[in-house]
Amino acid sequence: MKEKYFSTFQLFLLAFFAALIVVAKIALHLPLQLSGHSGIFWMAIIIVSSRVVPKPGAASLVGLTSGIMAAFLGLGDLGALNTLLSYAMAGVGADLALVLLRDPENYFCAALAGVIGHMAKFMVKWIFGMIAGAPAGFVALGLAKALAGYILFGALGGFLGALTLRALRRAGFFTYLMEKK
Amino acid sequence: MDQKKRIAAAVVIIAALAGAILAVESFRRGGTLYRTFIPGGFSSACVPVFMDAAEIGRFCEADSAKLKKFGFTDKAERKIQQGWFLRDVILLYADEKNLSPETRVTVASESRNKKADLTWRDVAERKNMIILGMSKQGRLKLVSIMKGLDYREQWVQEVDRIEVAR
Repeated sequence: MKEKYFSTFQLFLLAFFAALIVVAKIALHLPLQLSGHSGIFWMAIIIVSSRVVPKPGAASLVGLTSGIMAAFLGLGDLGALNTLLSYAMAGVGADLALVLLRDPENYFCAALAGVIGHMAKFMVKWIFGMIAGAPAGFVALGLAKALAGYILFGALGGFLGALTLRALRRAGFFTYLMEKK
Repeated sequence: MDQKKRIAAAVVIIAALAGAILAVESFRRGGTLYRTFIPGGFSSACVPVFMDAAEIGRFCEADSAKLKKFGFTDKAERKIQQGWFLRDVILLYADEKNLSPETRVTVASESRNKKADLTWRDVAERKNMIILGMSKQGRLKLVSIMKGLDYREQWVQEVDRIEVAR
């Protein structure tokens, strides 16, 4: 019998990370009036998920699943399709970056993967804004400033993800995962 | 490829993406790049002036050189709006004797689906500052400080038709 790409246990973990992204988006708010500041939470979660399930496509699946959940919960300011695509692209962007950078436990690699994932989300919002003619919040604030915010918080999120992964390794979480596999 | 090269490649990708976004946006919103690559002025699209449905002239960049520029500071964004009085533009092609205070003047933009309906009384009054200014994209826009036409939302961007109806 052909082996499944993701095991049931891995799919369960990825669904858990997806739910965590949506919960973080709803519950965690930083008192910052800066575009993309929530990226500090969800890029961290995406980076952690990509190492906990170390297969290409894991981050994309987390992004897509969280996008579906967020769309159903009515999150986002430009409609369900925008929400779905922007969440999914954050995962796809991080996944593609990690194909190149490989090691999400390396601070630089994780920060850069966080930036690329977060920029992918920014690009979806920007393209939607252009197509729909609807001024996204960041257009009013100034696109360059918003883009800088996305890059900064994407990098911080990625860095936070790498810190979390190192802490998990020290705590023996990956040894536990190997046994569960 | 070693890790340092991969990191360098990722930095280059990020810089290229950010540069592409900013370049496209600058071009789209009439920023520096737009002004560098697209010649300014509105000579390629002179604005036709109609009187009672008959075209009496076309307001081109060369015509604007005959007129004096005026301006005011826009109250919302504190930007200087500069251009030519609509009154002076119309009088380039129409005789003032043919215009009464009740004559209707319509400034329209088909592309924006917007128009401003005015009377000659309003247009002729210089203190209303009804001006045809130039946008960053080199297109004419109708701006004013007259009540009812003093907000950006009421201004007509990308003017492509001026109509005078007696």
